[in-house]
Amino acid sequence: MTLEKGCVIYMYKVAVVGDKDSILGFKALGIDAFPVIDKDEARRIVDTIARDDYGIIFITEQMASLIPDTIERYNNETIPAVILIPSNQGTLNIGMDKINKNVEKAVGTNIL
Amino acid sequence: MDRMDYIQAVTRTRVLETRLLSRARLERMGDAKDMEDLLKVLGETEYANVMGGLARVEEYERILSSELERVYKLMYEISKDRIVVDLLALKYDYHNLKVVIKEKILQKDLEEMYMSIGSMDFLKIKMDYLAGNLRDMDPNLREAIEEVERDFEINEDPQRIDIIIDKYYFSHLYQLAESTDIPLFIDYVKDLIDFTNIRTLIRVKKQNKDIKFLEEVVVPNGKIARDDIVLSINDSIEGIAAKFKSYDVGPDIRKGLEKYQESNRLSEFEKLMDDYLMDINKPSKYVNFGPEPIFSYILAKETEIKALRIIMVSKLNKLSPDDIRERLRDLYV
Repeated sequence: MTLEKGCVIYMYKVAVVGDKDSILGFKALGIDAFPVIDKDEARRIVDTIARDDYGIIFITEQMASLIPDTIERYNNETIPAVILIPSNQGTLNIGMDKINKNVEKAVGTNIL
Repeated sequence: MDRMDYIQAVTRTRVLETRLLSRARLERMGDAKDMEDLLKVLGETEYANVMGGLARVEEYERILSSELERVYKLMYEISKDRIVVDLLALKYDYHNLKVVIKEKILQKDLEEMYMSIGSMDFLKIKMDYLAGNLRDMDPNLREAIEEVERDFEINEDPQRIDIIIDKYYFSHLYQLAESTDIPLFIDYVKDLIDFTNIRTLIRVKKQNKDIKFLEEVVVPNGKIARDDIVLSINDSIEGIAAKFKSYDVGPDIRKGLEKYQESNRLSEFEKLMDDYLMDINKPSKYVNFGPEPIFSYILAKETEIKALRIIMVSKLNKLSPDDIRERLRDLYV
């Protein structure tokens, strides 16, 4: 990649938060995995890594449903993007609902 | 090795064997409605001693590792010759060796990956390795380290670290078993090597790697000749099952490969391997003079702990009792 003079590529890191058995596999992709057990731990981890150069934080829906306020707070910030993923227990549909809502906001109608 | 040295040890092991968990108890844990319920059942067993201070059920791994540690410590005390226990503890030394080498390369602290079990004083090995002083080290470990370092400089491929260390592990293990002259130990190691090689063969085939790679990862000293396995790379799965059917591990390999064809997973193969290795240890129950019961007891404990881990992980992830039962290994008792 050629760059204009003075340009700096800034590499954000990617994190995944959730119960250990759901997220450990992400490590193989070079994503940093943060296993958490309860909501206090989840809240603390999300807040810490949000300040720590992580551009994308994947979090399992199960965990996210325990800490809605924290998730909501990062929705209003550009970085990091907090993205919900299903855990190994299946999906709660929160993540998909969110995408639908955002599409509606952007296009005016739900085209999905 | 004098068989008469083991009279006292076998007697003690016999008592310990009565405390092994029965199949019925494991199934009761599998049927428990949640983790708390399961731990209540476990609290009625010899695990009660290591269950203290558990803050959350998700920390179940602490119970399992302290139990395993306790067993190894006790068996080293009981056994007249360390080598009987070394045979099973050696894998932890090599595991730790992988961790320390990767720690050095990555410049990262992987403290929680270390096992506190092993046949050698690993703290000393770690210090020596980090200080670059390989002189006092076991020659097998030293050679393994030297080869890994040479290789990593050229290839910079972390997978090769594991391949090289595993190769040294199996040759070291085989040396140990040979030196005991106990048929069970030699059979155990040879069969373990056969199973491992066949599993490797299947994986290599699945990944479409070439014969050159397979040659690197197949280890010698099994009952099946190394070359026979290497040359099977282009055979069909049925062909492989038929080719090795006359070996000791043949029937189980055939069963495992059939399951693999149905499900495309090797988990059933691995279960059959564990069951087979447990099975050849069962005659130790009738040995009264000799080291076999000690070896078999440790293996039985490892199998039991593996079974408990399967149950606990399944319970935490809400698998049905039927799914759990399917995955459980055969026990010693």
